[in-house]
Amino acid sequence: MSYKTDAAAIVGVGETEYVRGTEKTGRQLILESALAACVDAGVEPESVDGVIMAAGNMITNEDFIAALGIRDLKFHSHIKIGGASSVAGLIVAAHIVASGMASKVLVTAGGNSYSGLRLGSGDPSLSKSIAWPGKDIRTNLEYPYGMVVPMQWYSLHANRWFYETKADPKGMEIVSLTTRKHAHLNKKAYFRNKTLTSADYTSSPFLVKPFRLLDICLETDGAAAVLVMNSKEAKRLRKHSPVFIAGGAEGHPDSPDDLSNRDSILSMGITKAAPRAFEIAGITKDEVDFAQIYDCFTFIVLRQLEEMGFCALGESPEFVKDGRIELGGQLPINTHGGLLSQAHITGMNHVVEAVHQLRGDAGKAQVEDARIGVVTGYGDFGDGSIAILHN
Amino acid sequence: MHTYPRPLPDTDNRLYLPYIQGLKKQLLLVQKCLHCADLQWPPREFCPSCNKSEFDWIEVQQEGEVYTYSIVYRAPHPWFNSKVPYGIVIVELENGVRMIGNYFEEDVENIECGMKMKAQFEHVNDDITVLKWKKV
Ligand SMILES: [Zn+2]
Repeated sequence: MSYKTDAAAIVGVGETEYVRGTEKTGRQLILESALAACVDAGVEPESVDGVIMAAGNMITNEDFIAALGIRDLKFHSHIKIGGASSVAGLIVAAHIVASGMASKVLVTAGGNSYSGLRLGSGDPSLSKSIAWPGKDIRTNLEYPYGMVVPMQWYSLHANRWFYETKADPKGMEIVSLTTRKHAHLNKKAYFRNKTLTSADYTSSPFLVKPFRLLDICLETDGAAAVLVMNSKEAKRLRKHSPVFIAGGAEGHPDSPDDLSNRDSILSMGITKAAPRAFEIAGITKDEVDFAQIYDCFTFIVLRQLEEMGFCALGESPEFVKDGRIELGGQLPINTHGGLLSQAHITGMNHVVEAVHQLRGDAGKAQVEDARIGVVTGYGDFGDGSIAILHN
Repeated sequence: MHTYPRPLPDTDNRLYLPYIQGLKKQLLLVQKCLHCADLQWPPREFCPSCNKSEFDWIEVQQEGEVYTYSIVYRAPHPWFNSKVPYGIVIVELENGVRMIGNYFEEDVENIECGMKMKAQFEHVNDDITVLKWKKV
């Protein structure tokens, strides 16, 4: 197979333990995963010459230089589009190594989002300490009315979607249950041993309508990293076959800091990014063997399937039925358990899982004959990112 | 028991001050570009249509329809602990402006998109009045 763009490849992946409760700082966790990615690739940490820090403020480029013993850092950047940052950072890394600006670029994410300030905690400092975009909007229009955290913002999108399309709410349950089923096959998954039934789902409380507790992702202590090199050099490494980055894109919705006043709240960053990414990669949706879809909420998986064009608007609940998104189905999704049932590592765990699938070492969750995979990110007020990978 | 202050709009924010002062007078004010006459909401420093930076503030109507909403069962901040369940509605006014506010009553389960709503003003203190939306 050959694709239009194959300039860069993922050569190493690293993950810490995924836990709830740790003594380690976010910085320690991120550095641990970065070092693990170097070991996985068989690359000397000191030879890394680029770092991209996706989401969060837990680490600086100086921290990487100190911990890895980097001799000559040629590139660094911070990507700040929330959950869309990991995949957006991966795309930036691909372009940096393709241009020759740097040759070994780490993309990292994670931290101690369980042991640190938790989004689900109701902590009064949440409204002050998290650097969301659109601070003026948050402070003056949203916090006074009790709209403070993502589950509330995204409920605005979900409720309008149900109203306009009459979509079947059952789709959210299918995503929740399927993801949990996949987590049972993943030894790193927080919920690997905890079964989830339809009765458990329907009896879980609404936190914000239409979201039940079991529609909402985990909060996790942990970090993940990937190492990106240009494909030519990647092929010289011996430890693993490279996983090629066929293409990718990021996209931003209209009025990206304000969900309420964009023309249609159903239009998202990925609405713009997905057609670009498929075009750049020269791949059609029919060729995709699996997808790791950013799943901070069950409903956002459904919406991304629609906006990427895997099904029409409002039809995702139908699309996910009958095992289509399960292992063995037409389009297995979140084969590691996702943010819902494995861990919330800002979607870098989705990238790592895609690499395992394309190396053929995804264990019990291996998608048979996986050749092409899609990974997405979703963050802040609808920013999107998508990467198309192949082996 | 520690009490937490209610999160309120920031009267030191110059961009929002006309809106905040408008609420005090029971008016809904939005930006109108002095160059291209486009309405802008929420307020910003520049007009995206013509990139100029001079605005007037004009009054918009106080009735509209629910564009979307949220029904909150778990408080995201301790001040709201005693308020749950509460509703947040985004009301679309005739000119396309969508304005947030709390749903006026406790029957939050009845909120629907398309419901006709009318602005109500809740006096909080000498500086701050907040917006509630009441079913017409
Ligand atoms: Zn203008």
